[in-house]
Amino acid sequence: MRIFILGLFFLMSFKALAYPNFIGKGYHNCLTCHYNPFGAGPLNDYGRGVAASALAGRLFVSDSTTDEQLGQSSGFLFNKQDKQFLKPALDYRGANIYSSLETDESQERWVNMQMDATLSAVFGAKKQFIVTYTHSMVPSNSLPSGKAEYEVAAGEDLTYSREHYIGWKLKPNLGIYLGKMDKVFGIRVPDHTSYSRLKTGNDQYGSVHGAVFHYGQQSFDFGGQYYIGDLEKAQEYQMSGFSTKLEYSITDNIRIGGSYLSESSDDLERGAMALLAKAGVGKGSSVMFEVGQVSNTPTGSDTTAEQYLFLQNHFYIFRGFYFVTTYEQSIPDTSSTNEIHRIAPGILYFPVQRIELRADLYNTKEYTTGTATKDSWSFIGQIHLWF
Amino acid sequence: MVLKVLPILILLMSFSTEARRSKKAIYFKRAQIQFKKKNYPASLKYLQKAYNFKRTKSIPASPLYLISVNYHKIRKYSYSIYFFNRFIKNNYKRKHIQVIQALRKDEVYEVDIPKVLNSSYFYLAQNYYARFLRTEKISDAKAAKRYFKICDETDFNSKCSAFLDNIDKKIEYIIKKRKNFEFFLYFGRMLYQDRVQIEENSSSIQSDLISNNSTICYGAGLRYGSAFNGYEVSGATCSGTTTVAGEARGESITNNYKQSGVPVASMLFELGYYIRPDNEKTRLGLSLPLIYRVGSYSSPDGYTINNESEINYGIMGTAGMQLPLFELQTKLGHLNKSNLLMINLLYTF
Repeated sequence: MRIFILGLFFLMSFKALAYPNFIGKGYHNCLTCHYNPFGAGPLNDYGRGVAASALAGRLFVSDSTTDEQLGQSSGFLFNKQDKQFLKPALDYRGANIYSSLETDESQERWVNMQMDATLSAVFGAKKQFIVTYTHSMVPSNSLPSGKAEYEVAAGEDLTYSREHYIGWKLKPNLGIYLGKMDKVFGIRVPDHTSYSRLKTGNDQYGSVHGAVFHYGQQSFDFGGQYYIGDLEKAQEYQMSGFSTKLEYSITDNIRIGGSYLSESSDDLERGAMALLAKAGVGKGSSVMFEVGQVSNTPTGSDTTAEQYLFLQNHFYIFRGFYFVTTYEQSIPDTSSTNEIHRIAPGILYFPVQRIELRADLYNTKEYTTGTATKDSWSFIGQIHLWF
Repeated sequence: MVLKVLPILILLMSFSTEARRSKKAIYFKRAQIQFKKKNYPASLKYLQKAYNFKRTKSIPASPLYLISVNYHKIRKYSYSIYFFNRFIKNNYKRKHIQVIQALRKDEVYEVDIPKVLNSSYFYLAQNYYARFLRTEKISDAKAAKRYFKICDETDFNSKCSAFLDNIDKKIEYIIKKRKNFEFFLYFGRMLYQDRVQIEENSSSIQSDLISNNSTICYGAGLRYGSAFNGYEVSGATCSGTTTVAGEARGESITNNYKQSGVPVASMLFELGYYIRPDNEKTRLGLSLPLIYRVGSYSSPDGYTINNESEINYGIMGTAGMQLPLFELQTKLGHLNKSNLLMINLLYTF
């Protein structure tokens, strides 16, 4: 349980506005809104434009301002996007976390989860080249124990590059990307503490150096990644391997797929596979489902297999506002009957472009053979600003 | 003698008829003047003085048309519909049949419709539309659509197309607004945590144990609601196992006491209200759950389990998403010392 709460403290982070739940708005492919064909990282011009003009709400926006005008001013610091060759972006995300609510000693803490500065450039006759670099900083007060992977001691700030790569789109639907990126695996939900991301080594600090191949059509996306680990991390934390993902749209609003990952370090071998499904419902609601199995083999030890299930529903209430329910299940060792269940009702609100608010109440239930553990409760309120 | 009187009588009668005719003409003229002044009740009064409204066959075309329009203007739409129908029947019966037949074949534009008949259709369309807004009867909406379509296809009035679009949306809205009963079956997994009380026989000291129940539920329910909101009542029977253990505090047996795989059964009843925020495809609700739980706990020597059966009640939030065949439902509830999580699949009949 402590690990989970610590996880909430240190790993909870989201990135950018274009999330996979926007399949509910008809957006199947990540590449529509992101430079990265598998999502996350900086938004492209269209992504910023559509976020401003169609996805975010219009709080404090006068009726005389059209959505088209909002889209046009969605560039860095409200500039028009097409005038900029270099595309800078700033991201900040902070969270107020209330943990152990079930006890008399609940804790409250503000965490600066994400402070990113990104510079991207798109060039070439057909705008076929993309270069992007994201520099991230996590202040020391948000890392009370430091960050061993990056050799950051307690009391020190963590500075690292979350993502940087060069991409070349050989054709509009075919591209290769070299650099540091998130692993190509599963549904890239922004909830980095979800079991689907934690168990597969795909959390906030899970991006790796390598090469990504992507081939996509309107109805499918296929890609693979070969990676040599995050070279910014200490040697023992670098996992190298490959991952792959296929998504296929079986109808206008349902997409199914699968993922496979195999990686290893000096101390650990990991294999993971997942089945996934996303569906748009109604005018903007969505369901996302992922079920996976992960096998971990520490050097000199037996393999343990774990399973996870991720189910997240976004209920569209009005433009920019969603009610969200997340249900997750984790079986840490399939040879035992122990289970962890987590449900999190919450809200997600984009009152206006560049502002995202989210609040989730987490209830975690541990079902362990031989003992009964009291449910834990926590609440996280987040603000995300991007410019 | 008779021959002398008869011509006089005939003469007198013709004078009287002529006088009545002239009186009717005067009243009709006055009715027209009042109509122009937008004083429609006064206009109707003059027309009532001139004609017997119950004998519409004897009312000439122009006054009958004026009566119909007057009723339309004073928003007595049913009367207006009645008199327009009489007007059409009396004066344009054949043409009207021709128009309706052409409408069925989408060939109205080929019929040469007199202007006054087209105008009557336009008024009729508005009357039916207004009555539909008031009564929400689909038959009125369909009649309004029929006449607006004639109007639209003959280009009589440019507003008719907008009315047609609007009426379809309103029909859809009214159908969605209607409340219906819906029966559903569901099954799912329920996880809930409650407390079991253990009592030390010698000292009568009571302590709570945590009981983590994991059960499979089968249930059914009834909804009464529209596409926007409604009420729901449901019940389910659940069975499974629980693990019982004490919290790691205090000095009593509860520190070490454990039971795993204890059979439990429960019955869950709910009464709730829901809204459907996204185009009928989603459902968010609140309900008042009541759960009866019974477990086959074994009491350790010197101790007694007090509440082998227990009733808890509280409040529960529900979020449902309509998928192609099933509704996927997530529930989270708080009941006395218990909290409850359910993941269900529902099939609605």
